Amino acid sequence: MFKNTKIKKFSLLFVLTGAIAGTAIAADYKSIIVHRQGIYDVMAGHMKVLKSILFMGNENISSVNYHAKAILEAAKHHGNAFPKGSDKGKTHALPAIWEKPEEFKQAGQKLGKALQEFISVSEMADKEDLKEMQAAFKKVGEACKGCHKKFREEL
Amino acid sequence: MKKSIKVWDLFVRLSHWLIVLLVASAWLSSEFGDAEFKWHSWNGYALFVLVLSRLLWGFFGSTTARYRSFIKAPKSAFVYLQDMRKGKEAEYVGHNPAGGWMALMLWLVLLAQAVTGMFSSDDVIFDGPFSFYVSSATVSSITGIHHFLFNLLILLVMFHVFAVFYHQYVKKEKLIEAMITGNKTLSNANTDLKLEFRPFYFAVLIVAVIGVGFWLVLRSYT
Repeated sequence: MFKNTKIKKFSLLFVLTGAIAGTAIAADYKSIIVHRQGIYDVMAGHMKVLKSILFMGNENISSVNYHAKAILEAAKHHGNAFPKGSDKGKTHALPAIWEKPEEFKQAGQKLGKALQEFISVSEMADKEDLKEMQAAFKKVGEACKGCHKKFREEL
Repeated sequence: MKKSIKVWDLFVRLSHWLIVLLVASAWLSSEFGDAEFKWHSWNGYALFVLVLSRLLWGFFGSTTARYRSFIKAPKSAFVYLQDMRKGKEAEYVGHNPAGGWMALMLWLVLLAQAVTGMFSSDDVIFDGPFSFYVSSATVSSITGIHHFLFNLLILLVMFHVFAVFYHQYVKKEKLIEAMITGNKTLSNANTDLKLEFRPFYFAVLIVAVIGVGFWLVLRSYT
């Protein structure tokens, strides 16, 4: 492509430096991306257990409150899980997270509120509270989905 | 001389417009419906039963509904499209060769869409009724296919509507009215053809069998 070998060498050097620097930056955020995805897996695990109890007849009703609290604990990581620059690499995070930080924060707060409600409804719960817990659980699900819609890449 | 004759039976017309409504409400319910996808699920089941019944009607239905009458060699579809560009395409009683393939593609994509939906998950609170039978990695891939097929469906629908509008407004053939009333105005050579019509209750029977069968499968395996 280039006749001048000097230009050739310099461009190669330039590209290589860029690639190495890029890899280094990506590697920097690798732990953050793996960590936040792990957190989401944790939340998904609790959601799965809750579905089995609230909708499929599993009888561990007394553990609903524990799972609700655990999701809230995990969700607290949201606040610092998306530092600037962690939009590169193996992530489904959409640019909107960094473009509309205020909106992203509000979506997180909506989840927090839904979870608080779910936790209080499931306190000392038994079979009679199932309906109320289902409704609160759906609110949690709606908060998750509302945020995915705007800030997570579609599968 | 042109004459108006009946070409589409009631089930063909009814299933066509029901599919239009169900596709629209499938999109609405996934975009703005309940978070649990209850509406979207029932919508999908209805589409599944209806499209499968229409596909069977292609074997057992009236003449113009049958594949034998409208699935021609793919080459003839291209020949038809070329003739269309020259503005001298032949007149067909039912589907033209290109339209026939389009209809079949639409049904197959719709069927695939309904089936993939039953194995999909929203990653939050909805799990398709059969998603328990496959690994979660498979569920995510199938969910991806479900989203891709929707885009493909929209593309096909656009071509379909575009072609119908061409016939309706450029060629002044009243295809939309035909899909409502069942009647088409055709030249004598075509009106002399003997078309056989199967009774509507026969179609209802097919829908009922498929519907009950599907309901039993849902009830026993999910």
